[in-house]
Amino acid sequence: MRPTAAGLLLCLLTGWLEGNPLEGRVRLVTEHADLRVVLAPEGTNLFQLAIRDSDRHINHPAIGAALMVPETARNTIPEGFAVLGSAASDLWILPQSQVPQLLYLGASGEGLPAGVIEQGLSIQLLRTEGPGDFMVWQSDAFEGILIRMSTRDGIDEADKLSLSVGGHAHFNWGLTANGFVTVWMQVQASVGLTNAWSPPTPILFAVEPLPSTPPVTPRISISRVDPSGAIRLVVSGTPGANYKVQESTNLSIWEDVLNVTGETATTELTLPPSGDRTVRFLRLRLR
Amino acid sequence: MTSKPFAQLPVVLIAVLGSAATAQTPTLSSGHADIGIGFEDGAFDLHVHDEDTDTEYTPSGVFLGVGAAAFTTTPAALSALAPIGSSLWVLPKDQRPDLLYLGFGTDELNPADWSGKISLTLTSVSGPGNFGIYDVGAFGNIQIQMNSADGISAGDKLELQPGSHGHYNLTFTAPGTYSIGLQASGTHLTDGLITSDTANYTFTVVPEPGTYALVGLGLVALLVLGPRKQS
Repeated sequence: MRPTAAGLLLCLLTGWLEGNPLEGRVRLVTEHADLRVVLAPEGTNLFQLAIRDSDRHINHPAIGAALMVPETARNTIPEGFAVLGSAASDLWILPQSQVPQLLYLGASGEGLPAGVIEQGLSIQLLRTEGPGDFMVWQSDAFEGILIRMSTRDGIDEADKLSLSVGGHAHFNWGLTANGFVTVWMQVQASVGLTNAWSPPTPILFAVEPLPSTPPVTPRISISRVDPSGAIRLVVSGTPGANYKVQESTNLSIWEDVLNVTGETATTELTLPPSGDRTVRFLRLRLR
Repeated sequence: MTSKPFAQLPVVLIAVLGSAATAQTPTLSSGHADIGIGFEDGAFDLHVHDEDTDTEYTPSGVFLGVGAAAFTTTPAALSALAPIGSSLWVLPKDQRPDLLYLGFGTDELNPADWSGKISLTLTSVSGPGNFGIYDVGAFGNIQIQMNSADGISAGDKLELQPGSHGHYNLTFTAPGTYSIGLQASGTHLTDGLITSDTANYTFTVVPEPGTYALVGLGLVALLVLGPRKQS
């Protein structure tokens, strides 16, 4: 039986999307911070990936912090470093050596209890969202430039930071464009005879100069529901911004259903009927 | 004259092990420790802080161990510190479970009390080899902060931001015991230029693993064959 408009429960989660990605986040601008592996056996996953203010000994949830990359971090790639990009092109770098005006960012397996992890503790790059490419490398007097992660050649299982339990290392973090770049990472390790993971974790890099006009907080609303079950939606947001409408029946698993690029502040679109679903949760996200 | 070639071995053995800490002086050979710079009663307080146990030592109250895992050979990029291909012991700036993770901390200093940076200057090196500190930039450029191989001067220093903490690569060119003299200086907004006394830090550099094997073989030979007797 096709659900009627009256019987269809629609829930619009209009507050889900980041109007200003920095809103509600601690901004880490200078001093020492780490992506820190945290043991979290009480939850679904054995690990979590936190952002640690290492000078104040505070672990922030990844969604509660932003890693700021100011304009002073912008470099020009010299000749002979094609692995990082074309000569003379821009590269914002948070360096592996501490510089007072920049964030000194590392990765840490400190604080993990001995005997839990058998081997293979690493932070895996999953994907990125935002402009440009993302790279992580180490510079070493013995081995030169060692690329650990790079989106320039695609992402595969080799894009990872290997850590030792109790260990701590620093890296060069490179971004090729300014704006908000979300880097999705995941902790992986072997525990006993099984593999264990953290949830995919979004790490936000804010590369300056940031958009001068804070994005309008986007809204999604229903103008009407057709007898067929198709839903007429109105999306309002920042002109030119790219959004996607996602749908879920349980608020846990979300699927992309529509892409929206509004040339104006308000865009109308139609969501097709979804068969026998009587509950449809919808939300709007930045692409 | 009686020839006693193997009688020399115990002396060699003692010499090799002579750099080990006394029973009274602890040695930090792993974990995280910092050469710390504090400020008390108008004077700098140089010390060693064991970050893992939150224990503070005077510079003479602890040995800083450089284990055999630090042994390597000098690459071309570090030819200013030692001849290419020669022995080199490196305490790296990245933490390894089998080596001391030694940093330099001015965490105890309030940045609001100081003008500019705190200088930590190398004043003396006493030991079997040379001592150096270097870092590597994002594009692989070597930045040498201290190097006794070309003599010690005012340029052999670290510039540290008050209220900060950093790590560098420390190098030694021979095994044995070193005494490294360091002096802190900085401009206090109230008290003016402050310069500390020289603090001497003791580093014990363990020989590469091959040396222990040779000594061990010699000792076994001594036990098996015994000293030769002239007939």
